[in-house]
Amino acid sequence: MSEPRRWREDGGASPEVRDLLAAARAPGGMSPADRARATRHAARLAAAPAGWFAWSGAAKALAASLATAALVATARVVTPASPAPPAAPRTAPPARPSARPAAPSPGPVAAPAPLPGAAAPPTVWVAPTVLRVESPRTPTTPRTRRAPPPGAGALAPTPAPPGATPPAAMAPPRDESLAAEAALLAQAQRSLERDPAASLDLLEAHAGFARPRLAEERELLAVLALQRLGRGEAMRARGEAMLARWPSGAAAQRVRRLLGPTSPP
Amino acid sequence: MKVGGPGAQWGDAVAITLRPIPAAFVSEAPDVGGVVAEHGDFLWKTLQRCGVRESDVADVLQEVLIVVHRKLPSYDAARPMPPWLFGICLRVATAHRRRAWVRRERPVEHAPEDPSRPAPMDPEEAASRAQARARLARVLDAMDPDQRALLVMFEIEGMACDDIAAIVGAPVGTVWSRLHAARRQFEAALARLHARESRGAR
Repeated sequence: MSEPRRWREDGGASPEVRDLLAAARAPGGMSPADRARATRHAARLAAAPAGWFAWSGAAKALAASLATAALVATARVVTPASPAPPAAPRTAPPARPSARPAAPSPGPVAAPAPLPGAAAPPTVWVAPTVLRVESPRTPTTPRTRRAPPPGAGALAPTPAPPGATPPAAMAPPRDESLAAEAALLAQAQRSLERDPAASLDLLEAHAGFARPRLAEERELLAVLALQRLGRGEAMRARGEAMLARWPSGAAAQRVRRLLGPTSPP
Repeated sequence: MKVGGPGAQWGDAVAITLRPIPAAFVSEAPDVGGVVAEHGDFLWKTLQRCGVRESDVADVLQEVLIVVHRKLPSYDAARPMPPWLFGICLRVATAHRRRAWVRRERPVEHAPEDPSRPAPMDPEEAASRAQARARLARVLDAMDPDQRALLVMFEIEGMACDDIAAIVGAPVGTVWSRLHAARRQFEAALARLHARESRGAR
């Protein structure tokens, strides 16, 4: 087949169509900065098992965490902590605007956390990179740190919570591991487009976690779900609360864009 | 003439590629980093062809890469990658455009200026060109993403039909007939724009 003629040249187009097409710009290519960003994103994805965290918000959150050297967490299941490292100043997030459920009182368990896989080498794979950690509400946070994964080597070491965990600290009564949090959020993310209301329910379930470490990610999903439900007021309120709580958080830029020009700085 | 039946997508047409595959498009199954290295520019442009605004491309590309990463294990390395990527871009871009806030909150008032292009000397000409671009964006936004992509590639970028066929994974004849359908859709969208404008003027 011979090459067909362009519309502008074959006489079939109206003068207006010709003018419009003549004014058009062809799509531009990638700038070096865009390419570098996409390459970094790809490297993070390649480091993760397929299917992990299938939402870009989390990926961006991870990127921003890298950039700001935020608190490093890790992310296996909760394990008995080693003896407390010396206390260091903690970069706590600003005051929370919303009331949150109190932490469950520790049970009388004295044994090390009996979670499956806790002592084994990472059988429960969690985030491939760095996650933001909430400051603990109680001084007894069982948490084990692990060396950052490859690619995160430049991060500042994690500041220790003041008066961190005695080894005898108990396990939470239910599975509040980061893996469980992430699974819940991933599920909420999956139903975001199809059924945002169900997504919101899942996010509420996550809000019941005593010490959520993915609270910012949860709030971003909640804002997106409210947006899809057309609940503009609720979305704005939640988004603004989010910006107040994490003004320079990983998702702040995205939330500001969603809220539009009147969003808080 | 509509080829492929209702609901057919470009991505679905991968299996019916009839022409020889250009060697440059064939590669070993790469990881997602390799896809960015080799096809980053293609993805970037394809998303714009499918109607993603320049300011959103970086975000939407992240979504595309997540899908690519998830689907790479099932990608058949014997097949050319661009049609496969094109199908993914098309689906992600379509979902992106459907999101209420993209439709509602991003009216095209003016097309961004292109700093790489020297400004025309005449300010009147510059203004009318900017106005034409804004109108063009409105018309293109009213089109289906697959037809829009085709029209942009052929009519605006001036690509050859053979190259477009290799990208969308369809025979050249199919491309040609879809291109005609895209022109009709463009004209219909332009007519609707006229109707809206004349209603607004009254």
